[in-house]
Amino acid sequence: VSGAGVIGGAPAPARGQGLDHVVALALAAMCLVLGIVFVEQRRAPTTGLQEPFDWQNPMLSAQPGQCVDVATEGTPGSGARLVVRPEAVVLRPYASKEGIPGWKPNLKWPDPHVFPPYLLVEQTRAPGPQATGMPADKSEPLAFPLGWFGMPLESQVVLRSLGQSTVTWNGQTRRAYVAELYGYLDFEGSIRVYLSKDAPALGVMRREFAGRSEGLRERHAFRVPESCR
Amino acid sequence: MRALILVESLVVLALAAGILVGPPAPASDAGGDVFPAARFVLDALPGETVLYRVDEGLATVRYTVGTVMVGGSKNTPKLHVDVAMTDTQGLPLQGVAGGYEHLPTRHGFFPLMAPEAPAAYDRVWVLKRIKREESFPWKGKTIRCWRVDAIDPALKADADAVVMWMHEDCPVFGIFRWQRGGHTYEADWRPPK
Repeated sequence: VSGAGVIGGAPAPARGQGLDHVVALALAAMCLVLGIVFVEQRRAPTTGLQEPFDWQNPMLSAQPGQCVDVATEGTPGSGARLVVRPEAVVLRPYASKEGIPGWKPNLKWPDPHVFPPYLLVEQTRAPGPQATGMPADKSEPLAFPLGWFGMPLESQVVLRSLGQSTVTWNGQTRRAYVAELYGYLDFEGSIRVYLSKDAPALGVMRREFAGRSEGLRERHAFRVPESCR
Repeated sequence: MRALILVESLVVLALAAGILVGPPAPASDAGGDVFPAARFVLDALPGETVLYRVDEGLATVRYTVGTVMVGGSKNTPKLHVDVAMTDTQGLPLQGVAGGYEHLPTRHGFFPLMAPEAPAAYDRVWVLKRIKREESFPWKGKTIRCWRVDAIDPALKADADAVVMWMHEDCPVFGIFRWQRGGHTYEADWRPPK
């Protein structure tokens, strides 16, 4: 019986070793594939952020007729459309003869000739049934100083830092620059502006406000409409 | 062989767990390179000073910070900046400069350079581009700094480019070298050892 067992069992170790080799090879292949997936997974999300820092002012590329819709999140009827006026980028306001047609002088900014260099846009009501916050015929020029990161002339802000990030905007994840601003007077607190050269007009995708004392939190979402008409 | 299989199994399990857990959170807002705008003129202190030599000659421009007012809900930040200049003979230029109130909310973090119109807020430099300069030769060293391109509307349209090299350790405006209107301004600042 034992002899039969030895004879009969003789091929077993060889089969076992062969099976071990197959298992080892299969596991080695799995290690390789999983290792590649692991490395790629860790490399992918940081690729965008590791690109060299190279920010270019998107407002300088604004073209007449470009437009963007902006609305305060959670506030129906707050939608407004900003359309770049034919004057577009005004680098030398002091040399402008006409000033700004339609500009209503105010106490802080009575004379467009002494404005900081600016991008001129027309603000109108954004089309859509929910946009009821502004009369249909309401339209006014707005000046956005070129170095104020998409903030309007009336704001009192300073840039504190400019960093990089990735954001999802218009359904796409893209590289963005984030300007950290600080506001004074009427609004004292932090303002975060997400910028991209792909965003038309102001180059802004989103603005976030966090008031210092009043606990004010507000977000302005920018959206590219299908048509500017 | 069994030991090899055991080790491989452990590696497979570890990799699978690593993949399932996912990558570390993306660096998001805090990650990557950050241009530290608050560390230039915004954090300048009274008495801080920097001297620029123009075109490596005797002409100089010196900026010195005077009083500093911190902003808040009642007022915006403000710095008095004294400006002293010498001509190509090294003699003080009287009445050309003097000083001005630097208003960061209007002038940003660049010096106001329109001596013929000191209150010309409409002629502030326009920020065009900010780029990381990984190695820039300066005073016998190689430093990591920022190259900042701007437009000076006070100059003619075909020659209005301003190029600056900035480092947060350089006093007052953080600008240790700049080119404007065909001239080069170099600070007496030396990078830390």
